[in-house]
Amino acid sequence: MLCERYKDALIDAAASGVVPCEELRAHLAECLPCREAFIDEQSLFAAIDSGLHTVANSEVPPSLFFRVRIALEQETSRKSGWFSDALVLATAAGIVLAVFATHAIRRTRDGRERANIAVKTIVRPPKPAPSQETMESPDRLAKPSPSTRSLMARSLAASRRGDTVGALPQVLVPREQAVLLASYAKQWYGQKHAPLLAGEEASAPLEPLQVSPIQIPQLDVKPLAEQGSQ
Amino acid sequence: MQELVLDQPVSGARSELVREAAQADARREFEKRLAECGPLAFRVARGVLRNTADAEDVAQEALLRAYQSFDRLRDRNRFSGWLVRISFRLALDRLRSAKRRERRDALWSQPAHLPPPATAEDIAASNQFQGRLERALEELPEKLRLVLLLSAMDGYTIEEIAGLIGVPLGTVKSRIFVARKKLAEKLRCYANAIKTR
Repeated sequence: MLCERYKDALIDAAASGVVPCEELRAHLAECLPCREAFIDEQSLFAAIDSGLHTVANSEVPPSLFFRVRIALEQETSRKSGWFSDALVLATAAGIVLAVFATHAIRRTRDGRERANIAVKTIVRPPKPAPSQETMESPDRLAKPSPSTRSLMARSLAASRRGDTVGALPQVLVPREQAVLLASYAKQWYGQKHAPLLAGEEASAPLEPLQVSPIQIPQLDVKPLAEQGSQ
Repeated sequence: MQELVLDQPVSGARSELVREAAQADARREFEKRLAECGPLAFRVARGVLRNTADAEDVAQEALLRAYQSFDRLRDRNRFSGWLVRISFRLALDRLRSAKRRERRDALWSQPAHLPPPATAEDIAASNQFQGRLERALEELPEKLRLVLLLSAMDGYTIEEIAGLIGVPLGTVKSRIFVARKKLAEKLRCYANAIKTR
């Protein structure tokens, strides 16, 4: 029968795995049931530890890493797909807005011109001599629209000032070709700066190739056997 | 008339390339972490779920979430601690839903908890002890269970465990002690029964 006084101390000592205190050791030395119980407790904790070790160190299936990599690929492509979708949507929204804005500006200008004509019709001023502008009226059709002119002017002014953003070139491009140009620019930039990008990625410097010197064994030329030739 | 826009194509290309390079950089770094901490995530999940396939699913999900939050988790210790917690939490969630499903199925079918056929008495006893141990582990409070699992894993000292789960060293030690005692309480009767057979 286990001694009630030492029961908890005995279990604690077995659970902690440390050497029992002096008093408990003395008791274990003289009490056979407690000694047997202590040994049983130690066996039980050893079995628990062994079982826990089995549970906690189960073999990792190699498929785990493969699966995670596939999931990562999908995640990355989903992200980039979202980005390109957003880019396309933003471009489309920009085009729609630009079309509406251009249309609205034209309508406003046409309205003003009509109003001016109406006023001129009522007042009937003396017919002025044909101005330079009216002389050039057929050419006006070939002239760029005001929005394009303002863009050209901005581009020209910026290039004259030399304050292009980050010293990068700005170009005028048809709106529907902007995406294609961006794609081309990306390829071109990637090719041009490939060594730089690669240099950023390479963490370890390349070591010079070690080539062992070529060793040519001494030629051992044996003299021809002196044989009497016929 | 054709409408023109003022474009700066190189600027866009450069920013996109820089973004892609940063993504590739993060991916490489994550691959390193994956090799280091992937087994940890799996083992934590396996310790909770007792099923390799489920543990693999949970570890995969945990690692994917870790990748999504990788910007915040570049620090190695922070990463592994976060991964342990998320794996443990996901495994517990899955265990709970599996239990709910099991209960629901049990209403419609015969109980199918038959013990595996024993080929030899010793092997059967050993398997049964392992099964009981794992069930007893499942019944432990979550905090004790996680610490006990981590302490049983190869390669992690108590100091490292304290760092992983973000609690003081003394707390880890006391949790391990209490958890082992609780397991022993649950398994003592069974061990005595085997002994008297």
